[in-house]
Amino acid sequence: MNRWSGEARRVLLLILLSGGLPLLALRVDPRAYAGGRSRDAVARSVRNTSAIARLLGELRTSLSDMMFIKTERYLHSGVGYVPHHSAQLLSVEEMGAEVDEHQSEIGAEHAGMIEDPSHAGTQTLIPDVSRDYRGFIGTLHRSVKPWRDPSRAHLHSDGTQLLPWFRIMTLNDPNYVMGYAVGGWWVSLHDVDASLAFLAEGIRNNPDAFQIRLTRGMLLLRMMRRPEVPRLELLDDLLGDFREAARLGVAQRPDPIDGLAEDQPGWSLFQEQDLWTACQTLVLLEKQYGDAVEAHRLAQAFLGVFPDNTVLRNVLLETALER
Amino acid sequence: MKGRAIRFIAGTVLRESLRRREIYVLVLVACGLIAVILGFDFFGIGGLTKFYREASLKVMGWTTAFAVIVLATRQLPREMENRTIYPLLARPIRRVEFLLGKLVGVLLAGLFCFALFMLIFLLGSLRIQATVPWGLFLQHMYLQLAMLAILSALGFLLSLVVHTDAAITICVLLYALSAVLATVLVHLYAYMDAVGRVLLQILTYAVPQLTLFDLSAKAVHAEAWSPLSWQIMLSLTVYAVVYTGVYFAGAFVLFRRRAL
Repeated sequence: MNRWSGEARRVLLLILLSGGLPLLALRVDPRAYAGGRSRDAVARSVRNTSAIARLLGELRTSLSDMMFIKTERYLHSGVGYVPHHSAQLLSVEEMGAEVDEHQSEIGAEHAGMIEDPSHAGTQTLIPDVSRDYRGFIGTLHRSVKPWRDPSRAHLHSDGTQLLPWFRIMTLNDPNYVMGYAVGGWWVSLHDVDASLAFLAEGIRNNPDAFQIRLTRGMLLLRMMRRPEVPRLELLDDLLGDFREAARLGVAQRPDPIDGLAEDQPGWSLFQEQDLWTACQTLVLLEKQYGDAVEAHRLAQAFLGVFPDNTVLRNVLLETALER
Repeated sequence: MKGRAIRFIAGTVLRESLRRREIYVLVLVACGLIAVILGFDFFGIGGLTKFYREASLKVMGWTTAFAVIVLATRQLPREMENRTIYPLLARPIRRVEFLLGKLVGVLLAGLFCFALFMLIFLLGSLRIQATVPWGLFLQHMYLQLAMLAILSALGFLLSLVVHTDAAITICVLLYALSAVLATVLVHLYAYMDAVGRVLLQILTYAVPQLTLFDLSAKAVHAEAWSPLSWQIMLSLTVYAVVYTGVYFAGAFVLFRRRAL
């Protein structure tokens, strides 16, 4: 009898566990968690109120972070470098320029690979002989794994091969804003429609992420500059994205301390640059294609955020004269 | 030492592993994963071969290692529990031949598993019109087999010291964490005092660095890398032989002392 009651207790516990865990999992709102290196500490602490979400969500965001690092390795022909992207390079505009430059050099000159001396000197994850205590094993490690002397130019390879990782990292963590923003640029090199669909998915999953709006806006702006593309068809979408990016960004930007908003908790230099780009471009677009009165109003409003922006100041003067 | 006795034991292990169908199940599961990878549509863009190559090589490596670890760690305990070891040792077979035969048998089963995967990998490559970097690919296969020899010998040794489940767990952890371990040790070294540094040195040489046998990263980015030189391949072979020999000798000493 005792044996059976012991068995029964164990079975009951198993049933409770097996039934309870899925119920517990249902309580975890995927969007309530945001971790990973693409988000700052304060943004995470504000959003992550659930202990369960923190425990279960960390794995997911860590996986996406690992995949993001993987894309960097793919660009360097598999060599693992210490992350060396500056804050400026993480901004949408700089990232777009970097992607273009990287792929155009590879495509034009070296059929798949190119040596880029600009980042030479970045340390590798597997250390060179002078920093490695392992002797013989270190030598084998450097021979077996993709490794280059840190003093040599980086060996850049075709970025097309990164695309699967952007798809998987955003499927794995739909709140991985960086994955959408950077992936959007890379996909656009091959298929603009696929890129726009990818960014639209990112906006659906992250309605507050102004950087994805900005990426899509800049992509549309590039398309509009092409002579074969009908401008008017894109204009509404384009203005809509920049308006929304500027509105969200201004609302999210913390109040500056000593005139600086960047490096405050919850706001980085690249976010500041993105917001600068969004506000400035929106004003220029309104002036050129939209309403001069609206351009004047926006320039005035954005000068309250970026008082040193000379482009906004010029637009303000020009539109005032026109009026 | 009789080659015939070793062949006999090895053949028995191979037949038994094929009869139990565990390998087929693992291969089928892995094939399912590879099929999923092949079936993925990445923005409708073709020619994305590196992802396929990387994911397939990882799945193949993990599955084969897991199959070999389970097979190796269960060989001796199962023979003893089922008492099938007695009729075998009643024959004119020495214990060292018995153990060596087991090792060869486990490695043959691993090779069979690899051969199946290789076929699937090549068919997959053909389907997506991906080129196979033969030099690096074959070197990777060879090094993986060398690593499986270390894992098998370690599995034998551990199965004679701890429970089978614990032996499997230790081997799996050693395999799974090998890449992380190698990098972490190097970075920890800078933060260690003199005693800590000596301990790290000992750890580096006492624990086999299994990541040294994983050439998949170079095989994935094959356009940028040449196959390894023969000197490096020879060094790695010696490295594998030393660790396999040490673990095998340890297993043999324990097995010889065991009263049956």
